[in-house]
Amino acid sequence: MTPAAPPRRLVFFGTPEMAVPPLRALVEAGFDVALVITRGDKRRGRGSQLLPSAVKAAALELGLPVSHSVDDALGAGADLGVVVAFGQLIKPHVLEVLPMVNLHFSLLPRWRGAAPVERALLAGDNETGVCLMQLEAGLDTGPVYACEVVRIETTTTAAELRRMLVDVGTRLMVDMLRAGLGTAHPQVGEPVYAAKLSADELRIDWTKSPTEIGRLTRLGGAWTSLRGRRLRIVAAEVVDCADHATNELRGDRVGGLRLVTVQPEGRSPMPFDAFARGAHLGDVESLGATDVTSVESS
Amino acid sequence: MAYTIRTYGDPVLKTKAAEVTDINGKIARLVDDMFDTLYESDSGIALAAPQIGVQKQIFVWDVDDEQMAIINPQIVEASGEWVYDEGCLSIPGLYVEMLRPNHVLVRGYTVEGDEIEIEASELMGRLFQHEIDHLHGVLMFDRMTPEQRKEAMIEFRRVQESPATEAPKRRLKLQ
Repeated sequence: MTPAAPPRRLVFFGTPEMAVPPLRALVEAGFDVALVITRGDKRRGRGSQLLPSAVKAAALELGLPVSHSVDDALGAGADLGVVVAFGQLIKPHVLEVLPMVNLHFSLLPRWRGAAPVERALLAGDNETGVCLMQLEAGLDTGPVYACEVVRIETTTTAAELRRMLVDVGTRLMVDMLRAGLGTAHPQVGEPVYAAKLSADELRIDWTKSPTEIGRLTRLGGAWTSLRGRRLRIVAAEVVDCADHATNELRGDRVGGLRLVTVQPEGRSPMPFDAFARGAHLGDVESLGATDVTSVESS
Repeated sequence: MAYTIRTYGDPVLKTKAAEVTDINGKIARLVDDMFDTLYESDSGIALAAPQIGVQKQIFVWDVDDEQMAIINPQIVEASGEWVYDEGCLSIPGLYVEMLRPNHVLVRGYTVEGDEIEIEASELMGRLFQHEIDHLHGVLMFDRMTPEQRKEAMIEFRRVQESPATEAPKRRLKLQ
């Protein structure tokens, strides 16, 4: 016997950096990627020039045709769509014609939605994972072909977790596609939703415990204010999770939290002690006490 | 040593294979040859003795790093339903979505001559049913309704006629 035929021609849907390794792996594994669909170019950075998505840049480098319109998938002569962090829902009229699979970065049905990696970290989950599922019109509701678990240590950052999940997920996806996918099983358990993070959620609430603040800093974008200016906490470590909540900065410590890397407004990230020397910090400074004068969106 | 795999049309595929009465060195060598043939095949995961022209009730498989042979296998129990895109080394290039029982209990002998019982479902369950069919002279075509067979035959001929280098693997839905 031979196993089910793997799909012959694929359309790949993806947008950010996370979706690039899966796209490259599919091409490397010999799948015929007929078309890459990615979200429209965005204005980013100081020059405000239009920048292509990470997936678009990779697709052009690989010599693959690129489109911004989901409907173009229908004319590509493909027999399967592969969706990885596309960032946009796919309309039922497309799904009806072209079956699709989606690589989702959580153990479904936990953390359905836009920010599964961030939500798993914030909730203090000690494991998460990736699932390859059949795409349905609903938000991450489709039956699952296969999942793989990834551990979250108490020091794992969002960037590290994302890298691990992409590694594991890429391998899982290529293996499953090669084997002809097999059967999908309905998701079992209580669904939990992973809403996109708002800028406000990244602002550190110093009444929370060191553990909770530590988790927020592991996302990479946590911020507070110091002397009326915005200070991003790029990296911090929890040295005493039992310490009481405080907003007083003494040396490099805020209660049970030690600041490792920070980024002052308008500057590059730097080690905390370099920042402290330059800023002539007093023995005790209070964090987040004042409103920042300007809040740039990051 | 690898053999040529017999393909659809070869009468040996329509013949019931004989029970193995003595599990000896000759059988062990046959099993080795069957593995050699399986590994030389394009994408096979299992192979039955009739597919290399030997009318004996033996088949071998290699799935998830498990390489095994079973002798005189019989399905003792079958239950459930499962749809799977099945392919066959003797009908190269054709894949047909077939509905069969999901779980099976198979009894037979190992190459060492020990009696074994294997419970299998999904891909493994399908593999056992497909290979045991071979030992009874039954091919995928024989499991289809006349209309389905007609459609599958047309598809198979189309696949065979396209040049080997670009012959795409075709899936055919029969629902």
